[in-house]
Amino acid sequence: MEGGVINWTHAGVALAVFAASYVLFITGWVHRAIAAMIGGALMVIFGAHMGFFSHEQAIEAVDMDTIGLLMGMMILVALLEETGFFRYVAIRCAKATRGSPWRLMVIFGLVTTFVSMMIDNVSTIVFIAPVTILIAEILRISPVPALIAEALLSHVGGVGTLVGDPPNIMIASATGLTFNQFLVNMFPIVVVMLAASILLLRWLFRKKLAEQPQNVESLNKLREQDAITDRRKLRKCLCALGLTLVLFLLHGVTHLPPAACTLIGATLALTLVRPDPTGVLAKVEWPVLIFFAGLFVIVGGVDSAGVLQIVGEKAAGFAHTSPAIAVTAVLWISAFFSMTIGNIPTAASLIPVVGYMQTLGVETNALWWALAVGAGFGGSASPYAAAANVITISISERTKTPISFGQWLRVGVPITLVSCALSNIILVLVHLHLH
Amino acid sequence: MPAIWTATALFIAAYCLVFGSRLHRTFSAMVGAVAMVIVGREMGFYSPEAAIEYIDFETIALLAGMMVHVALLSETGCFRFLSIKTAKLTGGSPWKLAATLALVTAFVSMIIDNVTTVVFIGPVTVLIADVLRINPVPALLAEAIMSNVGGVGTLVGDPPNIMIAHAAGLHFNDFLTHLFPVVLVVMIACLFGLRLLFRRQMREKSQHLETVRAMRERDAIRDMRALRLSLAGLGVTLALFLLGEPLGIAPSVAAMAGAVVSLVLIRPDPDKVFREVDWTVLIFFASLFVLVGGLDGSGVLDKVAAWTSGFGRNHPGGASVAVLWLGAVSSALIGNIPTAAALIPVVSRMGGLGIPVGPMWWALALGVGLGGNATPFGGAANVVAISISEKTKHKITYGQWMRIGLPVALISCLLATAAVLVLPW
Repeated sequence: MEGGVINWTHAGVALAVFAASYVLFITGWVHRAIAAMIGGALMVIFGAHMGFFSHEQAIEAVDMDTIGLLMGMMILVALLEETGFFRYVAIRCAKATRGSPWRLMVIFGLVTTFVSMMIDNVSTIVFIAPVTILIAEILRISPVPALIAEALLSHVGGVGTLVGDPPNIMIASATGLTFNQFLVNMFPIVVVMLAASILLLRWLFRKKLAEQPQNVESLNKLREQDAITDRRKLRKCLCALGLTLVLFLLHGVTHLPPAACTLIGATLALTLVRPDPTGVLAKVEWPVLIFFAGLFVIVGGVDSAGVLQIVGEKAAGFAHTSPAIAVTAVLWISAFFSMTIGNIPTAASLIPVVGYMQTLGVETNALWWALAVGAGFGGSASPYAAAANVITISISERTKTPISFGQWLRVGVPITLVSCALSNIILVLVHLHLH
Repeated sequence: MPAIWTATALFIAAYCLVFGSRLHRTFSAMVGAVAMVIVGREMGFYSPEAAIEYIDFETIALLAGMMVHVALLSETGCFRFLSIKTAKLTGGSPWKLAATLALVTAFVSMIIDNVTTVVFIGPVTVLIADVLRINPVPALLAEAIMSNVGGVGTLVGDPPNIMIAHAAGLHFNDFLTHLFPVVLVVMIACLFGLRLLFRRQMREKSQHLETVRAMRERDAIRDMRALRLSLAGLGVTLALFLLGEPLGIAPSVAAMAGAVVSLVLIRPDPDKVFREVDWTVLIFFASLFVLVGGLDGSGVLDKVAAWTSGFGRNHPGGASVAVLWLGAVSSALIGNIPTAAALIPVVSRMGGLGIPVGPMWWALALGVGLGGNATPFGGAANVVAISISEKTKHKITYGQWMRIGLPVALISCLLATAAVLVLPW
């Protein structure tokens, strides 16, 4: 594609397929993995026929780094889950709450934050939410504050590291930003947001947190030792997870891409544990990976038709005039899209745009962080903005007090607005005024 | 030079790990791939990025798409229907059953991909054997072997043939007139070879024929609506396979597009469907591609190619036979697609030196296609057949494969050699 010259028929067809797929994502008429497959197949069929997108280009467009990294993490989580490790952690936390609703919310929220820095948000919620409900039922208090806090703080934690959240993985893969760069740039923001979110949650839930717990002493009857099913296996899994983490941190020395680090760890775990291969691979969330692959193909087709380059050029012209506004715009646009279409499609479509801005000489360092923050925090706003929220709600529906749509918005929207605004200020101050 | 030895040593070590069945072959191949990438990167002949380039996603996506079709179809009871029908038709004779299924496989895999054929016919075979309470192994092995043989017969039968046709500018009819007759002879020889090798298993007739006769195949269909819809999706895939070339649609896209049609029409739980896909096979292939990529990156394949081309220059008469056997051995060890990719430029180069390469292309196609039968990993269809058998009580072991596959591959390569030497190509 020559700079600025664009075939509008190709662009129109590509955009139509793109828009149709996103309509399917939002409405949920078909499962999103299947929606992504439909979009991907249509894009390749039209693209190959009209000559703007061949199937070789489609395969190129699929970001194997992202998929490999996610697959490796999913294998590690699947193995770790079988050992009862997560249940063990949750029971330990339950005892530490000593029956206080406020401490229940804070401790479970913080654990979720830290765990979701390493493990994806959905897996984190899947293991922590059921235990939260169990504890709340024992204490006869409402589980809602703790559950919502967990979902929201899993997004905050996810923003903090390269592997915490799919948008970060995708940004890292597109830019080559390292694990440590994410840690240095995002971790301080995460700490501030964590404090702000907890204070805000305390205020928003002030009535529910005042409930009087009962049966506090029966918490001590839970035995965390019984949760661990297989100690030797646990040790092997933690060993492999540790190796992965060390390889992430040593990126400066080894220069291994994150996907390679994770797959090395996963291979080590599989070799040590030697599980039934069909069983463990069935636990990998293939629909999620297929959703990713389809999405990359769809966005790749739009890119190949030249659309994203045009958008990037326009945005670059704008960013040259005011870097601070560019950061703000990227952050809020990605937050808005993240709450409507989800964080992963948002990142997939905006990353190439920022990439083109980079090739045109815009200083994009702050823009990448703005994108990561916007896509991550935007996921908190509505119950459908992120998979972790959907899971939280569906788990809460097993209790007497299911979380309602309105209840979520009343907490999610203020928290999203405050965290986006705060990180916006931090990013502008740190990146544009200190340098 | 150290790169070549290191890569070869790693490859052999990975092979030993895969064969020494303490660790499942998928995990063994993963270990090998990881080691190849790390060591190769340290020594400068390989990298994670290069490794991804070597993974043939075309093949993997094609397989995944076809496995989705199979998962949807098997839910409907369609395979059970077919298997009761076939069991009745063959009258419970293991030999008739194996021969019929193998011949069907051979002819189908002349038109569509070998692996695809086995992905479909394998589960049916297992069900038939289950219904008749006989051992499915002879039939499964015969199918995998005959699919590899049949695939050699036409331009579209097997990826190496497509690659050769592309490189040499050969047409569909060239393959039909040159290779098809040879393949027919080889097929008959292989069938008799299999009959001889399996003489013991072929003797035990099913004791359950009467029960099978009493079964009504109609009752096997669990969900007629889903069956119709998944056949519609499969029809889309098959139509795109056949019409794909003029429209510019690759087989992988055709497989995926048809699978999507079925998925949208039937609306099953995607989690359940995707869990049915045999990921162990797909990850095994991805890892194997990475391993072979390391071998190529280190220059081993270039070295082999240089030797062959030197040999061809000195002995133009024997060059075709050399290409055939080299192709066969290499295809048995590293698979047919990488072998074809490595040897096609060699033959082209010999053509550039003025050596008549016409017969060499056919020798290459025959060697690469038939040699793959010798080992469990020589062809993708072999791995699929083994993986299918592992879900039953009768697992195909690697040793069992070699006992049957190696003699069959030898006989067929000898026949092919005779054809190369005798026929006036």
